[in-house]
Amino acid sequence: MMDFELKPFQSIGELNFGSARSSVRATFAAYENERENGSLKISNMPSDLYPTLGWAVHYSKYDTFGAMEFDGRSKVVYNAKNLLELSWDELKSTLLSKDPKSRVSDGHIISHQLGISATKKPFNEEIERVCVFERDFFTANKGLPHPSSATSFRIQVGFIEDVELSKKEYETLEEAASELFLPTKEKGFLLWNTIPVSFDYREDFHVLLANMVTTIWSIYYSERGDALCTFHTKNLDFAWRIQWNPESFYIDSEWRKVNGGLEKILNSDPISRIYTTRRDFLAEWKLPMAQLYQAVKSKEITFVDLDAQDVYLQVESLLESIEQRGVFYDDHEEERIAEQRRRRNKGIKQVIIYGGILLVGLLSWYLLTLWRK
Amino acid sequence: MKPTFYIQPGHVTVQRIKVNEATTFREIFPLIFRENDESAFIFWKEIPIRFHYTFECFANLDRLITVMNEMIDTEQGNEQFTFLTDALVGNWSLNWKNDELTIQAHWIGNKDYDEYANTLNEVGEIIVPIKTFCAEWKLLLVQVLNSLDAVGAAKLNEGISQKVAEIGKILQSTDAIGILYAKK
Repeated sequence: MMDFELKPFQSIGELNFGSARSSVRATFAAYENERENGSLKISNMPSDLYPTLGWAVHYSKYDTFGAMEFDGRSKVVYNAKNLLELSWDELKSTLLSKDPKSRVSDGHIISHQLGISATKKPFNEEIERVCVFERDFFTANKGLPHPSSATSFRIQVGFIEDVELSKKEYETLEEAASELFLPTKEKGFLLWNTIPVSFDYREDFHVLLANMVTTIWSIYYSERGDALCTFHTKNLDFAWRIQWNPESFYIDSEWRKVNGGLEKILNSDPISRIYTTRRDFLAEWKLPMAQLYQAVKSKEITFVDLDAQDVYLQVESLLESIEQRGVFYDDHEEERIAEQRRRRNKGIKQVIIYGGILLVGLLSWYLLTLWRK
Repeated sequence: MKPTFYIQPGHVTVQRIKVNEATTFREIFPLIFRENDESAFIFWKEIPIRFHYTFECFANLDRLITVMNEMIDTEQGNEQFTFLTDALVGNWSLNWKNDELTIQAHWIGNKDYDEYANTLNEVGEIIVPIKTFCAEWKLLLVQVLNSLDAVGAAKLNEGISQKVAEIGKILQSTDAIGILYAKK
């Protein structure tokens, strides 16, 4: 029986998570004759199977070691216990004690915090298989090439070319856009579950923003709500039903016309619905709004039409309120997370220090009281 | 007449990290580019296909550069190429003769993306001059070269140096650049 000690997200036995396939095969060179090709149903990269040993080695879409399955012919040691020798209840306790968010379903448990999953044998309490995996392996970016397991909404903006304008006063946004974005050839993209919906800056961009800005305002200022947004331009015709509350944020969509004729895939299940968060959705709109704002402000444009003025003012206000930018443009996300961790750790230290001082103070007062008596 | 094939590159940032000497050309991309960064987009008869600098470059560029070099070097030929993206697999059959390239593609959708593949299959093959095809890849390849330079990896090992040389050949094969960026 082979021993594999698990260090979550670092290594399993001699294998380091993230190492190249060649490196894994070199480690298992003694068993090369027993290796067969296999696959995870939802992965692009073939797995290495060792059926006589009960192993299955799975690779990320970058062909790096991501996960390994074992059956009872091996020893998988975590926290000084062989997981495969525990009973189902013991294993559940072990994982849940370390990660209360472990998901338990009928005969299966998975902990994303520990990188461990297990399946019990049918009709008895023994463990059939254990799988250990690197962080985020079973998520879209690393292990699974298709993102349908994690819906997403992103906006990628195009590069706006500079332009000389003939005037500074425009009736409407549409009129301004036709001149402001005349030389801009790059498209912007709404990435709807990674399906790219392109928009043209001259013909579509101002309509997208004008139709969204009031809803973005509502989403920012209200904890819960329901909005129907429709978009109709020369190139695009679609509608979104956006619903949000403190627990959830999702969008149901109906696509009637998009560039490239991708309506069918966009309207298919589960692609047509997006789950995201209020914060992330608002963040994605920040840069497009900033582009409009900068384009208008830099050319000192004014609008005659009251609707156009209103859109501009709302955009200006929202830009001041929404801190975060979209995922592609938020360089400071990692810094923010690190800063939050530093503050949290500092806070914990302060609590411990002040708590200690208070305890010493109380103890001193108690002893003093006793001494006086 | 609308072009049948063109590319809009993304604007990407390079992660300035040390790369291992044993790293291969394809393995470099997930190391030096971020997952959460802009993508390039290939327009296949106006149907956009996302081409990200990490996975899609990792999965496709190595072989694609070799095939493009072959197209430049030979009057006629054919090659099979499997084009991989997160959502799609494209089985390309490339045939070229006298500077004209025909790509017949059969697309297969990954889980839940069948309709995406069907839409691409409906529009049929693309026919494009070889010089135009190379011109469309130019800006993206320049980004790759600049990124390799930025992390000091352009001459890291023989394999990568060879690929850099092949990219250089593609860039020199035509003065043109992609249609979105060509001056009128």
